[in-house]
Formats: sequence, structure tokens, C-alpha cells
Amino acid sequence: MKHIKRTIFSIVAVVPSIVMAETLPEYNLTIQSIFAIINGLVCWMARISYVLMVIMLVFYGIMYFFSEGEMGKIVKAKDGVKWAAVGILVTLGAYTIIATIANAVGVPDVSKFLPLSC
Amino acid sequence: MKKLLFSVLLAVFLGIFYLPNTAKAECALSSVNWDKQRIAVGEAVRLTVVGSGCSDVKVITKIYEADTVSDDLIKTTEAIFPSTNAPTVAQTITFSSADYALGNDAGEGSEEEIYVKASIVNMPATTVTSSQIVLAAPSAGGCQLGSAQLSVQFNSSPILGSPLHMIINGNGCANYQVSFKIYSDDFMQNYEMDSVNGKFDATGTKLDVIWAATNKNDNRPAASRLGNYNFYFWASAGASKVKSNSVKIPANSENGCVSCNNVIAPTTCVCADGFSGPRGAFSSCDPICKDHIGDALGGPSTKKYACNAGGKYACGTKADCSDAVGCTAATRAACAQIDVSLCGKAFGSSLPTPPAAGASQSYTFTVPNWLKGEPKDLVSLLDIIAMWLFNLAIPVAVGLIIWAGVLLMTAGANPANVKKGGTILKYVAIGLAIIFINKGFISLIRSILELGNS
Repeated sequence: MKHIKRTIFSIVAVVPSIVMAETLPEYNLTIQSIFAIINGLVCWMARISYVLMVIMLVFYGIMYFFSEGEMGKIVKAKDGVKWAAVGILVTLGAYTIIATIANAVGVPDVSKFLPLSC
Repeated sequence: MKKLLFSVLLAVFLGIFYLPNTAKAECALSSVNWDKQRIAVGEAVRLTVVGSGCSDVKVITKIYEADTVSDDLIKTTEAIFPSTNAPTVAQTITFSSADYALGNDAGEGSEEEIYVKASIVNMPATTVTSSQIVLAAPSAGGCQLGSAQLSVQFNSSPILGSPLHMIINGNGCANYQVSFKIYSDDFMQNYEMDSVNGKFDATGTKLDVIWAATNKNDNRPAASRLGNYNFYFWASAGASKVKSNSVKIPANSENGCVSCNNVIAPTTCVCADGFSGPRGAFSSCDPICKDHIGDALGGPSTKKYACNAGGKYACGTKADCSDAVGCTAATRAACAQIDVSLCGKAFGSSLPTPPAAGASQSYTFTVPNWLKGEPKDLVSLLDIIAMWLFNLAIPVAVGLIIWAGVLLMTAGANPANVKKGGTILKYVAIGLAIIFINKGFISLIRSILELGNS
């Protein structure tokens, strides 16, 4: 008990001096930084999804292993692989989709805003 | 079991993918600079680290005292570059007596030479080093002066008669008498031009004495009087002495002309506040610049010595009017002090009287357009908002498409998720089309209203 009290006391005594020594760095949040934050989140999402592609294919493959010839499980695994393939197509084709839409409505130069700089 | 397997695989993959992504973008430091050459204990000094491509990078600055054998570390600070890709990061540092004591070895004098090494965290190879500056010792029974600045508050050219601020910082200088000696730094020799006294207040850390630039004691040889004055001062308090930077003031500028520092009068007269005009034939620049003397008002030198030269005030800086042009011996005898603004005006005229209290006066002003891009009407304001939404929409659209792909990937045989992913894709496509068309709708409606006549 005595030890605990002493520890707490020393922490209480030391912490303010640490806090006083550090001053908060200057940081101006602007609208550009909000764009950058959103951009960063999307880039992060894209990376996660690339990892997820591999994980899902492996996962459905393992499902196939463990189906042991049961028809219901095989169908489930096959369906999974099919939709995973569609999902991968959509994820990797994100820029293509946007560029196609832009081209269809007549935006002259897509390269000004695509692809995102990750 | 499935869930467990899934989460273990996810964790492994996340770990693999996370590791190589911890490296920061390339950041190169180019220099680290002080804003003062000499400081006292307790005086703030600004330290600026310059680098490129260093957004959000943390910089460690270590301040050392230079010794012949091994340098002593006296202070460590850190700063983070702003994320806006700014080339510099600045921090304000003050040194305490304890910091000074860290660097002070036995047998060293009452000053320390300090310098700073700046480096990026975890990258010691990127270190840059500053030049050395002097840190004056804390007061041990005496006043220690830090930096000395001679500065001009007016943002255009200073002239003879402009108030110059002599600012000195010190430590332990409470109520100390300070003697300022002002010199002009000439090509061969330095000449003492004036001397002023000041006194620190009870805090004893900062003193600002205003000196109106004057050449009244100019005893330089005639050949040195052409060209410019490079005024600087030595301040001494107790045993401590500091020298300031120099401020350039053109010769013959007492009437406002800053281009008259030559034997030959210039064809274009440039005045202290930036105004310029052609000099008339056989005339001087004084009438052109008399209303453009900048901040050279309100100080002791706003008065000039003048005498009657053919019905007009001719001004000079000498008390006996010996340097006023066009006066006779009789009028020189009646030499009198007048306000600078009356120079060249009719003899006997006086300063315009200020308007009475309560009298109405006109004043013109403008309100600046604080919107970036300065939109002048509703359509250009909408343009800005549309651009803003467009910038926001592209990453959001990419994110949503990826999300739709992820939903499809993880759907398995779950038709609800497949449907959800498809719906997201459909609406993203529609939304993107609308955003891409944006202004097109306006021109479309306009063309419909004009019935295709254009």
C-alpha cells in the first residue's frame, strides 16, 4: 500500500513537468487535409480489399476441401468462388468503372483526377 | 471454427501487409537557422528547420555548446512539419540558467557559443547543423545583454527623421542604465553619429528606445557625405556590450527623397513612401517629396530649421540655417524651427488645423472579398461549391465501388449481400454520372430554352 502511494505520488509529481516541457505542435487543419484524409482512408480500404481477395479465394478453397463430396457444401463453395471473382473484378475495375461513366457523359480528361495517389 | 480460421488468416495477412508500409516518404533536410546572432538567458529565439518533402515528419533538434574537445548537449527539442508540404518548421526556444550551466565548463568565459543539430527521427544520417550563435551568461550580479536589433516599423523606405527602434534584450538588467552610441558604417571608417541613453524597467528583459535618424552630428569629411548612412548602434549596460545590425538610410533624404543620395539631382524623385515623380528643370526633389515622407513624423526631427527665401520657407538641418538654400544673411539671422510639412510653403503659413470635435468627415473604405477565388455572382459561387463536391466525390466513389466489390467477394452464397453490392454499384454509377455532368445541366436547360438557336 505504501509502495502504491509512493508510486502514484511520484507520477503525479513528474507528469506535469513532462507536460510543461512539451508544447503542442502547430497544426492547421484545412479542407485540403480533409480531402487528403478521405483519400487516405480509401487507399487503406483498397489495400485491405487486395488482401481480402486472396483470403476469400483461399477460404472458399478450404470450404471445397472440407465439403467431403456433400452436394450442398460444394454448391456453397462454388457460388462463393463465383461471387468472389465478380467482387475482385469490381474492386480492381473501380477506376475503369469511373472512367467509363466519365467518358459516357463526356468528361474530356479523366487523368486529372484518376487514379487516386496512394 | 470457420470464424476462427478466417480471423487467424486475416490477422496473418494484415501483419504481412502492414510491415512494409511503415516507411515514410523521402524527406530531406537542407538547413537549420537561428534568427538572432546573440541571445540572453530567457530571451526567445526562433529556430527554423528547412527541408523538402517532409510533411508530418518529426524533427529532433539538439542544441550543443561548442567546446574544443567534446561538445555539451544542453537542450533537446522537437518539431513536426505541417502536413501541407510546407518547406519549413519553426519553433521558439528560450534558454534557462540551468541550460546555460549544462554547457558551462570550468574556466570558460561569460558567454557560450551554441549551435544546433537537426535530424529526422530514427534517421541520424539526415543531420544538418546550424551556424554558431552566442548565448550570454545568466546574470551573476550584473546585467547581461542578449540580442540587439535596429529596426524600422514603417514598411517603406526609412529616411533621415524616421523613428528607428533600438531593441535590446537582456537578463538581470532591471533598472540598468543603457547607453546607446549610434555609428555610421562607412567604407573605410566608422563615425559616431549620435548617442542616446535609455533605462531598463523593473523586469529588465527588454528595452525599446526610439531614435529619430539624424545626421546633425555628422562630422565626416565631405567625400564621405555622399551615398548612404549605414546606421548601427552599440548598447552598453554595466560591463555588457552588444552591437546591432545596420539599417541603410540614403543621404540627403531629410526632405523625403530617397533617390537624392548623389551630387547630381536625379531626373525622377523617389520618395520615402514609394511615391515618385519627375523632377522639374532647375528644381529640387523637395517639393515633390514633401508630402511623402513616410513615418518621419511625430518624432523630435519633424521640426526643421527654416528661413525666408523669397517668400517661402527654405529648410535645413542646422540650427543657424547655414545649409538652407536661398536665404539671405538677414533672414538666416531670423532662423526658426518649423514643422517639416511647411518646408517650401509660403513664408508665414501654418499647419492646417485639425477638424473640430463632432464635425463630420468623409472616409472611404472597401470590404475585401474573403472568399477564395473571389466569386462575383451566384453562379461562380456555385461553381466553387461544385468543384468542392467534385473533389470530395471522386475518392468517395472509389471507396464505395471497392466496398461493393468486398461485399460481393464475401457474400458466398448469401444473395442478400450480392444484391446489396449490386445496388451500391448501380447508385454509385448514377451519382457519378450526375456529378460529372454538373454544369452540363445548366447549359442543357439553357439550350432547351433557346430552342437550339445558338
